[in-house]
Amino acid sequence: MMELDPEVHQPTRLRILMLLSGVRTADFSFLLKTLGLTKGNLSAHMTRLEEVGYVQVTKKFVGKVPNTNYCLTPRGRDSLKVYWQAMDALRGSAGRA
Amino acid sequence: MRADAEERRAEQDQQLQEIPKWARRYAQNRTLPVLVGLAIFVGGFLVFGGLSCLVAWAYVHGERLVAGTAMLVLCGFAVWWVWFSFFGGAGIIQRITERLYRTEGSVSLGAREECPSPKIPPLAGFLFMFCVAASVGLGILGLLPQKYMQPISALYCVPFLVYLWAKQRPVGSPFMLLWPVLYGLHAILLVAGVPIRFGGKFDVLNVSVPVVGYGIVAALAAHIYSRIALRRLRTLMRSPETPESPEVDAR
Repeated sequence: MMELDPEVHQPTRLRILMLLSGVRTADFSFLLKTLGLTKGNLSAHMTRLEEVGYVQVTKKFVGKVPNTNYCLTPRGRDSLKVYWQAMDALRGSAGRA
Repeated sequence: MRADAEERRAEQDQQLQEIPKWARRYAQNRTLPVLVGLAIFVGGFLVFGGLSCLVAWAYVHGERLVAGTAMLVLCGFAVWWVWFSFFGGAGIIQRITERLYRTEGSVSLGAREECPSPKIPPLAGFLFMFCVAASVGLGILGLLPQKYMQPISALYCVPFLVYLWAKQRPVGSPFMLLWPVLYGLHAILLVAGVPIRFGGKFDVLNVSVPVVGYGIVAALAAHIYSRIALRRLRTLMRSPETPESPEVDAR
């Protein structure tokens, strides 16, 4: 039986990964406002995703303001794909039971 | 009970699957740069028109100082306009739109280095400029009736706008296709004799107003759709588990 990746299965992180899978990059500010989280909370989630290699971080300055951009890595994309396959498999086995 | 839970879970999963779609739709329809560009174009057009009228009026009324000063300002503005069009314009528009979008953050479908703003190939640009110059020249020489200026311009503007849109895919908004479609429809209506022409000394507006006007309509439609997409995206992104404010350990 396939196991669910806990890094992806966490609801907020799953949403972040899903969003990043639809676009090329999104910045911290966009994720913050879209998710409705606090800065600290989002920062912790993003650090975790960066640690496991699912997102890549690019830091730059827009004028004098620091800007942190995130994009999904190929590894992150693969893990998301595997996650949904596992979910489908789980649903299938639950339906048969 | 279990069936209910499974149904709810399936519904939640379906909503999650929609997130990339709405994120893409939102990113595609962020058309404020187009609106800002068109607004600057209209502003430039008005400044040029206003200063030219002032020069002409002052010259006719013998106001040499006013005419000279206005001419100087006009020349200075023309130099700035050339600089803006070929060098600094993109940067200025980018800074303005970044400021406008500051409250909602930034998202992109193409990384700057991978997907730069579409460069018009020299041949396409040359062909377009040649068509513009030829139709204006023929109009000035009286070989092209004023009432056919807009329909003739549609023959090259519509393919050019469609080409630009196709070149921007998948970054460009589908709503921007409204621009060539409406411009083409306008031409058809004019040829059919529908009274939508500016007459007399406003003849020159028969091309510029539809070109800019339909561009604004298309970009505004896309911008409004981006608001809808953003609202939908925020609804999907806020999971039932998302706390309103407390700092939850994310690990």
